[in-house]
Amino acid sequence: MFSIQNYSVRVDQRLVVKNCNLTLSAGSVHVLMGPNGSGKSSLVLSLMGHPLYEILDGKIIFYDQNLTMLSTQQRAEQGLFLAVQHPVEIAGLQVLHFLQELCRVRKKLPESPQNFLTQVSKLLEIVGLPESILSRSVNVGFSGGEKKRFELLQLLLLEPSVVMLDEIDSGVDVDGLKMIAQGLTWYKQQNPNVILFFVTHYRKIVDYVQPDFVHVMMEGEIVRSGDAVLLDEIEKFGYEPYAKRS
Amino acid sequence: MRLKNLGMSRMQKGLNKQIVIQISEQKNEPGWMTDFRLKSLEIFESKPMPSWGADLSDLSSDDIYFYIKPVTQHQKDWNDVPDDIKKTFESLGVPQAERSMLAGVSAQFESEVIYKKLKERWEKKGVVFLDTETALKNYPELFKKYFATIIPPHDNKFAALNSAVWSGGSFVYVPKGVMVDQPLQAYFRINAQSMGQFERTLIIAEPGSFVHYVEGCSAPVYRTNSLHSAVVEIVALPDSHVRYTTIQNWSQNVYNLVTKRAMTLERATVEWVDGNFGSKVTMKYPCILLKGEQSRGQIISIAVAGKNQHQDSGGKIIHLASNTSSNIVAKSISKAGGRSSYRGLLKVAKNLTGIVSRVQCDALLFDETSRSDTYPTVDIASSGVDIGHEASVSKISEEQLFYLMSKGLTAQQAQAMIVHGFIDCFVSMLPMEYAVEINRLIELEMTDSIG
Repeated sequence: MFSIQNYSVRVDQRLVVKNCNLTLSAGSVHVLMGPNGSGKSSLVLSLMGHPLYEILDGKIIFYDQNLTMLSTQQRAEQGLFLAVQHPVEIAGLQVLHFLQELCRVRKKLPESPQNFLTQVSKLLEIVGLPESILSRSVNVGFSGGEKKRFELLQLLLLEPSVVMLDEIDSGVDVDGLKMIAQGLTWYKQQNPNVILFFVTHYRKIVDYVQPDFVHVMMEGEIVRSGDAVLLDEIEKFGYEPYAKRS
Repeated sequence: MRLKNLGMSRMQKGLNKQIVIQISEQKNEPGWMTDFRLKSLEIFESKPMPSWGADLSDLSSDDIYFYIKPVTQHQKDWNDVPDDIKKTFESLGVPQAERSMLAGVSAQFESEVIYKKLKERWEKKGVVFLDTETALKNYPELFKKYFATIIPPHDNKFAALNSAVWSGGSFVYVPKGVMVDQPLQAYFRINAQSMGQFERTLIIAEPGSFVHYVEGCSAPVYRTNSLHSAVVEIVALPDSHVRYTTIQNWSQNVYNLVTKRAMTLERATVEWVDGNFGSKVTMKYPCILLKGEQSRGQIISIAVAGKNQHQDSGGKIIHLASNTSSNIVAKSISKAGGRSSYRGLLKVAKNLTGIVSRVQCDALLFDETSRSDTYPTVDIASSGVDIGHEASVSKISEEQLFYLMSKGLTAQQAQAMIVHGFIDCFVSMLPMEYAVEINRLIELEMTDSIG
């Protein structure tokens, strides 16, 4: 179980997340929706421990552990994973070397290098990336879709237990989106307890995954939570009805 | 090849004719070399300290004259070796015997066996790979024909100094058409003999031959004497290919002032691969004179400047013939207030055609207090020249660090990985074992920068 309690976040003197409460139980799928600038990305970035986001109040609890004071790297070790909206380029850092180092550091590296290559090949196929990507530089010259698929590849290698996906559906064509959704579904089958937390402002990805819960965020607050029925409501009426009447 | 006590231990500090004559006598050199040394001494004394580059004002004459200590006399106590150097050895996993050797505490002899074996293989092919003194004795004509032809003593003050007092270094001769399949590693030869302060290296590649010469290692080389001033000359005859790889990691008190120059004849290729770590001040600009048509030159370098360090390095290419091409890739990393400068020269002589040259210098800064400068000089006297120059300065961004850390890397590992990417084009030129060492060294440098 992953939960945030009375959680408030500040960045650049602005309060971007206000007193949020969320509980994500093992194996559940959540979608966080809301208009641009409502604080969705800020929420997941701060959950991952981004240094620019200051936690003013509240707690992040993962099972019986308090993650609030942990560093980004420690949170990753605890099983948190964030696929950021815009993965950064790292010139010269070869994809294969990067993956190998990640797995070495995270102790996911099989004994034989051959096994590692076999594993990577298999995962490349699942996410729909060509083998040639292994010799390219991390995210350099990747299309929007390739970047997202590459995030998925890392996810499959690292086997996290809480997966946060920020706009995994932006910059991806329909086929790409389908493939990413299939990859996630496959991963969830292998790891039934994984928590999936989608952040998006369209409902595109939701056509492929069945969320158990939908949350609406407005101006840093979670103003509504419900089941998938909420999606239809949002589609019909937009976010306007959730705005605070002042 | 045991060390001989050269018996110079009673020499006083200071450099004068007497001392130079004594060096030459003790090495049993022919008269022309004694004369050469003496003439070089005059040139050294007449030239002012260079003031155009890094700050050398702290370099005292005592530093310069300290060399008089003969190689066998620099044994000290392991306890005298600074703690940070010991720590680095430990982190790099350098065996104790090797640590002592690298710290200048003792010479190591284990490598003699390996050296002998390799030597037999080379000798079968007629390859000569010796210390420079022995080469002067055994191959006097060959030696005299090329020695100091690429870098004459009057080239610069420190080349003159080296010419006057040189000792040690490598001599490599590769006969016509011979491809030396394994890199010649000075490491073995030098271990078997200990390292000098004023090394003199000469490489001669006969037509159609190939050799890759590698020197240095990633472990820091600790010296109490704080001036290292080597001279390296390469003669690449038609259709030959020479690659010269250096990785140096000097202790923080060392002034590393090195002159390296190669000359290529028709269709020959020379590559300088140069990695500079440590030292207080490094001034080093490997040079290639493209003298024969269709010859090619490449200089790939990295420099890492940390606290109180100034790495002033770069490359010089001089096109003297048509249809020649050159490529310079210089990467520098500055951290913890360190300073790195790229100083480059690209020169094209008159009435040439078909010249292609690419220069790329990239600087990576770790923080606001570190510094990077670029001083490119371009001097083109021909038209019809295709020249590209690119320079970039970047900072390690918070987003890159966050991206990597969010996948489970520590800040150090993340920085090391970014740096690894930054210098990848350098590392890929190295033999495997050196590439591994460089990566370990980079990781270690990152540890220091984070604290």
